[in-house]
Amino acid sequence: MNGRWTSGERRRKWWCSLVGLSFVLLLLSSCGARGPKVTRLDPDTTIDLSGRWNDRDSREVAEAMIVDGLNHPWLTEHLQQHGGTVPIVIAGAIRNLGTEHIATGTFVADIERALVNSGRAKVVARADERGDLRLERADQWANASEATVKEIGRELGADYMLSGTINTITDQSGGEKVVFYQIDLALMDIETNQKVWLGQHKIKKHIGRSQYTP
Amino acid sequence: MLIANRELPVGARGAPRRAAWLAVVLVAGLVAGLVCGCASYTTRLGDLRAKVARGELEAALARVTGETNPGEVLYHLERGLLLRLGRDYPASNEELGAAEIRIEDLYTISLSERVLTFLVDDEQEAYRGEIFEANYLHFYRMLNFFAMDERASAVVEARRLALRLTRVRDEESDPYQGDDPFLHYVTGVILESAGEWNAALIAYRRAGEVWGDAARSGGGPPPAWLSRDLQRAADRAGITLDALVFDEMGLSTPPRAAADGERGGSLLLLFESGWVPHKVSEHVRVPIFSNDSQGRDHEGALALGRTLGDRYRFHRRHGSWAPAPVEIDYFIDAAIPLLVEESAAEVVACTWRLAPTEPGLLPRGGAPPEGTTMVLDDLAQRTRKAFEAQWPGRLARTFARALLKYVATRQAERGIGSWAGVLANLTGVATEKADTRSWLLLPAEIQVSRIELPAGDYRLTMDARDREGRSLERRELTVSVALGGVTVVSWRALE
Repeated sequence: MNGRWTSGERRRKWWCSLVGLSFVLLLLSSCGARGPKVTRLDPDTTIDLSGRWNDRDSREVAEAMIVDGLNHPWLTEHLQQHGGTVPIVIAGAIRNLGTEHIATGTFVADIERALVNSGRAKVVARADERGDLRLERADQWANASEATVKEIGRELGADYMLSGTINTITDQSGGEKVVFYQIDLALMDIETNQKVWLGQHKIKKHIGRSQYTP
Repeated sequence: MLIANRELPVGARGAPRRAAWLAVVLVAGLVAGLVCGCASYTTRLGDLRAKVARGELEAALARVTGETNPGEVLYHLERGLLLRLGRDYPASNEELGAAEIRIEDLYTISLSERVLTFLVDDEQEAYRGEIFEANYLHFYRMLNFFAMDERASAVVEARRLALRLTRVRDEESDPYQGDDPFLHYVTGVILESAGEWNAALIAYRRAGEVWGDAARSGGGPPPAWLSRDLQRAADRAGITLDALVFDEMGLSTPPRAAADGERGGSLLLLFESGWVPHKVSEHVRVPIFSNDSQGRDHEGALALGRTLGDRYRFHRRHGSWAPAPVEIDYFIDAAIPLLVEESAAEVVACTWRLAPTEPGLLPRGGAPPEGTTMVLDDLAQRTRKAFEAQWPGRLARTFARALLKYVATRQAERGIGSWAGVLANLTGVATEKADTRSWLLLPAEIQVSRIELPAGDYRLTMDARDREGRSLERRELTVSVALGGVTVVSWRALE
């Protein structure tokens, strides 16, 4: 051998490499680990896997919008008109008008949490939660001790209802996708139907997928 | 001369080491081939449809779970439909959602998997699903949400489907694969049910346009009731439709009063029957002619693979390998996918009859409404067309792979000895199978009726009928039609 391969040898080496590579890949592919691997995460950790609406979006939007909502004149006016009594708010429907399945229940819960934690508004049970509470009160009247039974007819009536919409616009071409979320919330005076605050929050995401991976 | 017949020099010093290396690789390959299993998808799930037809849904689910793996698109698609048939709609939607996510992820092509498809078999690459299969997972999710009475989610799914249909239409060069008038139509119905009249109008118009274009629709006529749906959606959206719009779609302009849906709602009957054609793996031998071009490398093997694919198709059409006599050097063995038509469906039509549960819902002396569903989507044809479009490419790749395996066998024979040749051959055989993957549980066709009715409760009787009009299966249920609402009834006849 003179250290230089003939064309035949080169070809042969090429074929051998190709066949070898294929079998190695085959072995690797047939020996993949099965079963789930579980890692516990901090709930505050942000992990964007698919680019879809996730818990972080829900939490961030709720917090940002409530901060915005509580820094507008309606709150000051309410406090002035009601001798400093904080407003009572009920969460209404958040309608999903977009092209992505969004857990609006979680979003509503995040909004309620942000409102309550701000200490500047009270939140009362939503329509779908009140039934259970009323049943419980009725049950207490039948079964609980007199000292602990809760009065009927002492529910707090909400001053304002918060409702809104989530809309999405998606533009996609090949592996590139841009999703635009627009969340509109309105706070309405229940007595007068007046919209006292209109908030809007936008999120834009680019989701890129490479065409090839090793 | 072909590469397979070429004498390849073997270096004297490097030979033993290379031989040992090649032997290890061959044994590893054989073991891996055996580990991977050589049965094709349809062989492994051969009795799936029979189990479903007998109503053995648990056994069918166990079969899918045992023969496929979580994370594979077909694992989720097949399970999604099985769970739907078992009326476990939330679980069905979970599976179909997982399939959708997986299909999105598979936009990224794994190069290592792609190499394996060229060297082992096509099933080494993850299955991405056909375009229409990815469309229909949205369709079934939509129906599942409706069945769970989660109307808002059904509407979101309808919007998702509309978005996907638009994107596919833009990206797909084949107009038939890139469109589906039935899905546009159903999307319109669901959007209408949510009062999204403008979006519903767009969906109806797209459905009508596609039905009016034979290249896109595949030739089926639009349903007569589409003109009323169009008119109603346009009226509610505050848009005036020109008569020309209806003409272009091959529809008659409906009388204004006919489109008035103020007094009632509508019932959408969806009737699914039969099975889509499925693929099988067939072993074939194709000759290499003495004058065939040389396949010196990967590109050369692909080019020769294309030639062999053309040769095989020529043989299928004409019964001979070439127009004129040629000298055959040797034969190449390969496993190719073929599409198998299902035996003629027994159920060909669905008749329905509605009886009001309270007096006054029908005009005095009026007969209870009855009719027959019409075929609005031929999924069997969609399967055929998708297969035909991909077949030449699949054949070329299959024969190129067969050539490579043949070359590997010859290399082993010459470099090591005849035992290595036998081993290499065994490896090649053990790892060769055609890609027969497809969503097996899809129906062959979907028939539809849309009936406008005064709001109220009705007793609905549906009969799956054979060619002679005999009822093979009957379903009876009470349906409620709400004012301005849409009630969806879906029935899958299992022969």
